[in-house]
Amino acid sequence: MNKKYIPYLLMLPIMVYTLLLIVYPLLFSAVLAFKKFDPISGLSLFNMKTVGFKNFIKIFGDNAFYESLFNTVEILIIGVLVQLIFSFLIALALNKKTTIYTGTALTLILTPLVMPMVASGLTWRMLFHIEYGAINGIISSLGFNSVNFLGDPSLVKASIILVDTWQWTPLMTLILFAGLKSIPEEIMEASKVDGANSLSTLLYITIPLLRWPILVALLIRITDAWKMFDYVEALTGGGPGYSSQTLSYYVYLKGFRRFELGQAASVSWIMLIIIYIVCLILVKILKPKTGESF
Amino acid sequence: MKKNNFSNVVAQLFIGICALFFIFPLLWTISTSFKPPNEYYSSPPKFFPKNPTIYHYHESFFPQFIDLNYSKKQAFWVEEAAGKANPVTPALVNSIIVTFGTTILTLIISIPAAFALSRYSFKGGKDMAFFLLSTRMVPPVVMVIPFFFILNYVNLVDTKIGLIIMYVMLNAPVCIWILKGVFDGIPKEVESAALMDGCTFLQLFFKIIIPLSKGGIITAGLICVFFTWTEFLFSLIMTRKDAVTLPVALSSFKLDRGLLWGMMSSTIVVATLPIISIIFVLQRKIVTGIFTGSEK
Repeated sequence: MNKKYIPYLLMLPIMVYTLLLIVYPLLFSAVLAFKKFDPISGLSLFNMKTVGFKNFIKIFGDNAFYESLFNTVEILIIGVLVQLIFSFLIALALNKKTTIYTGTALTLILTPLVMPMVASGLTWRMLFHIEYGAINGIISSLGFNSVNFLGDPSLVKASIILVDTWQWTPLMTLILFAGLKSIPEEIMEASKVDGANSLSTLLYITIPLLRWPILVALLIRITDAWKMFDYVEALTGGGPGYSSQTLSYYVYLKGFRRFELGQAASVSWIMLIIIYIVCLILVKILKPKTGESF
Repeated sequence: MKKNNFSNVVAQLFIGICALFFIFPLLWTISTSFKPPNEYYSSPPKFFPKNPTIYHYHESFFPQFIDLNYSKKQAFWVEEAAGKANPVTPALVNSIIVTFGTTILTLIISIPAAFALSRYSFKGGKDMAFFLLSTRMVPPVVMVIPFFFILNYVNLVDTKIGLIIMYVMLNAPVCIWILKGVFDGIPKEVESAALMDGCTFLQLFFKIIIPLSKGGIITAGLICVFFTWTEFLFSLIMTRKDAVTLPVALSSFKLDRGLLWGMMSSTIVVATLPIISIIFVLQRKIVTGIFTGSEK
């Protein structure tokens, strides 16, 4: 057998899979975005009526779309920023030489990662409960009025951010802590010898050296937060009103509750294009300058 | 020096509070799953159950073993406010089968592909690798609509096979990237020595490469288990009755009239068990990986 074909042979299963279950679905969804689904024509793409850009026009005229977009962006930006700062602080604290039980503390901090996202959404829904929830129990035992975390439109996004932060700060901490550990001691000592105080060491040495881990953590979290669905379904179902509806949830409702599959496909493509551009920009900004290897 | 001590105390305190914050919800759920309804429907809530019971585990997984007189006998019992839900045992079985099938199939597809990407430089190899990686960025709702059509064409909606086929596609890219890293770590001399000794390609693959990368393959498999076990959106849309998985069954405890606290928390506890065990297996690897990384 010719040796040249071995890698192609080994790649064959994944290539077939990719063609059938990534390339074909993507093309399908791109075509579907310009079609109108109705029950009579059935699920065949050829029988569906082509409606051109009508799907997009309809969506851009839909207030719920804008609200979902702003909700998603708000939850993403605030959530990821909070998580980045929070996990950075934890990683710095864990990295202190005098900290005892670092391993145990890290294990305890990692517990949220064991829960399926739906399970943690439902757990927090129980904790948030206005009458019997643990958090309101604590609040009322301190003498305050109980808070309607999920029923108040002005609080519901903050509640979702809290759940997201609870579950995903640990992962970010893990990445940043690993990054901190890999900074050579000598650099830190040299900066101390040169008389840098801890703040300027942090700003001019630690953070620049952590560029790559921060980029990885941000990319993972931003792509995840952009597609947030599970928490919304488990905690609020998008309500009250549209105040906690995310784009993924909007697509789900459009596609599988109202069966506007064409419109749903076009919204999903808008989501894909936006996240693609964001990722490109992020990599451009944070990529180490040429010459550094990563 | 004194200032330094102060900042250390603050750091320790901070870590302690964080650990408490991160572990509290799981502990609370475990405690709720052992409470009878009149204890979790009480205000203010107490952390420790006064009359612990495993009734909710029976109710969720083995309703046939419930002693019908039990709830009558208990004076403290109140009716579950939200109503009733079906037991989740079938969903648990489905989840186990789907997770197992997905993991095996993903590994079968990923191992050769990762090996090819790691050892051979061939036309299009790099592009293929990056294309696979970039699919992780695609929001799942983009794929879920066409997948729904595809599964409909081939009549696999609401079947475990349909779910497995989809999940393999979602997991394979990540697995291939992990395994590529693992294979990159095996020195090439091992192979050339084996080939020199007259080893055939298949022998090389099964007798040398696979045993050498066992740890990495297990890690990739466990990550696949994790993603499959917790996946919700695809399962929600592609299943109706027969192939419902655990996360979807969990969300069915969220009834119009409220939550089924007891059944829900007992199912959450069971749903987290496999991942807890995975973390236990991986934890030493993760933590020591971080610590040894520093001593390079």
